[in-house]
Amino acid sequence: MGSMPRILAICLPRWKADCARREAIRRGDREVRHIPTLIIRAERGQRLVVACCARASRAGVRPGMSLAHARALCPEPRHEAEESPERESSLLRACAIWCQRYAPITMIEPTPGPSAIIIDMTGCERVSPCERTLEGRVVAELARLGYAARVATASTAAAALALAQDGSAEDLAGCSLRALRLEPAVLTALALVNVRTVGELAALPRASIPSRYGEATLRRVGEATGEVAEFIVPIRAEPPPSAERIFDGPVTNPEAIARAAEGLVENICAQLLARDRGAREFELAACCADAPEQAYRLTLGAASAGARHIMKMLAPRLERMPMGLGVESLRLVVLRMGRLGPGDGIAEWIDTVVARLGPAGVLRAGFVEDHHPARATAWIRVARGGFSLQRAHRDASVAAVGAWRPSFMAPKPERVEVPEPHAPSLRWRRHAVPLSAWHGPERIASPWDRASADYWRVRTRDGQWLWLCRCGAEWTLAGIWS
Amino acid sequence: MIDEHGSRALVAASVFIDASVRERVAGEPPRSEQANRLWAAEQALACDGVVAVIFDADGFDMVASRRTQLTAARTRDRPAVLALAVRPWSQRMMPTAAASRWAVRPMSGETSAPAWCAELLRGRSAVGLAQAGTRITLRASWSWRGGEPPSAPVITSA
Repeated sequence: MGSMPRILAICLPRWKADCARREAIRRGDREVRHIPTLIIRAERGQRLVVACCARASRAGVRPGMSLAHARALCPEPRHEAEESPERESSLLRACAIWCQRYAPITMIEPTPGPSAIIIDMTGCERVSPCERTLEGRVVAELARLGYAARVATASTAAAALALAQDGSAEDLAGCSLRALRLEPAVLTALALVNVRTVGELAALPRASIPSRYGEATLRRVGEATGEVAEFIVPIRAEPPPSAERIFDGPVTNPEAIARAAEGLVENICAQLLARDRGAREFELAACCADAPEQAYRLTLGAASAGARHIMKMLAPRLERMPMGLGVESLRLVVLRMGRLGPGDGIAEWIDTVVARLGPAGVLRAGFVEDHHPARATAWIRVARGGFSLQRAHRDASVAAVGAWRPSFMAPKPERVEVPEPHAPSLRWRRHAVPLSAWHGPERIASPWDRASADYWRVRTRDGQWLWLCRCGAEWTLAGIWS
Repeated sequence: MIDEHGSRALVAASVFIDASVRERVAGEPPRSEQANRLWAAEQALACDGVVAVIFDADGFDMVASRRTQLTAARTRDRPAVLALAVRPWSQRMMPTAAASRWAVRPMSGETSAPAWCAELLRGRSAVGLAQAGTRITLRASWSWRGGEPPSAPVITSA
């Protein structure tokens, strides 16, 4: 088995600022992406900058500065947030769990210093791409989440972390001692004897290190070089909320089953509320005597922790469940959770309608920036992503292009006979239609495979507006305003 | 008067329900499109977060009309919801429980903007407008970036 350990370390140098920015974006403040972020701590009656984003750093802000100094360096608009260790540690935990997509064992680096996550890649070489590609992917995917990261791989966690944190060093020997996360007092003492890199420290006689610089320093060097074994305490995602009810014997009474399911749903909802989450998708599994286990999956339009609503969605399934000789046990597991939305009843309403009409029956309009009305809107199923007013506002802000468009588009463009633009009448379905006004033309370009066309708004003598299209010499009725 | 961006925002903040799509439930007779439509309208009117519902009332009889009217009406727990039931012209004489009834026709106006004339056919006291026969001219403005100023609805009494 002797496969060599490979450890990937992710150093998050701007974690505090990234967390504050992410929280602001979640609150709906999207501007934060483009302005400097300062993290402030009140200390002995003074407000200090403890961290800042890359943008502020480029403006000259350094951690430890007074807030007034930093404000002078980076002009308005800027985002200022108080330091919040709880927010940072809970997000770091969530991020470490997120990193389990790369390898199953991840850990939060316990030593003080910039936030870091350790991933044990040992044995995962067969399923992951080469180390360089993987490192690039981790950095890119974290950047998409809004986290600046530096990544390195080595055979020990301490070495990988030192390489990730230093960034400029070629190998472990060239890493600065700061990256090894030694105590500040030890760092100054070593700097006095001109020991500044890991290589220089490792070259010192081992016997002299504990008495001068402490046991911890020797252990840290040993961990980095692989002489001392280090422990990786993996972080585990909390298991999803679940509840089970085992009956004394097979039960066939539908009322008793419904009552038991109600109890399970209430149990799950209490667990969800304790975590401040709602269920998006859950599974109800029923073990029946003399029949295979039956599982039903239910998806909700938005996260919900309302027992009454979940029960309402579940009840029809329970009624139709074939029970065989009787149900022996019921199990309810939440498969997907989400943040609880505003309790205005919209999500519950959409769930109810989707349950009866199917997902294809509940739609919303999506806008695309396009001049042609046939391509400028699209139907999107609401059941897929839920409905949120926030997104509706964002969608509506897609630039409206062109002038007004007809309220009805002809399903199939109809031929009309028009002698020339601005003619007093046209022939449509073999009838002469007298016209009173022409507006246009408006040229709308088409994708490369179709010819561009000119469009006119035309009013008939009766006040009806038509949308005429001229493509080459052919005139068609593209739509009408009703 | 709603401008171009406003109408887009309105459309974006709306949910559209196609009642003709239906899922067959085993053991139950298939529901008609009309029954689904009435049911969906009622569900929407009963939802707290919904402020207005526009639905096709084609084929709704007095009972259906009364049901939607009662669901939309103000109760002790929640304010009233605006319900606009759109009926085809051919059914204009069918009885309805709506608070007011309007006839909307396109109008050939003098200006280049499309215009409609909405005539109050029958209104109960709650409407606020005067008696039957009140006409409202609705004009749309073509250009939302300047040009002709959007006109407010003009109310003329016949």
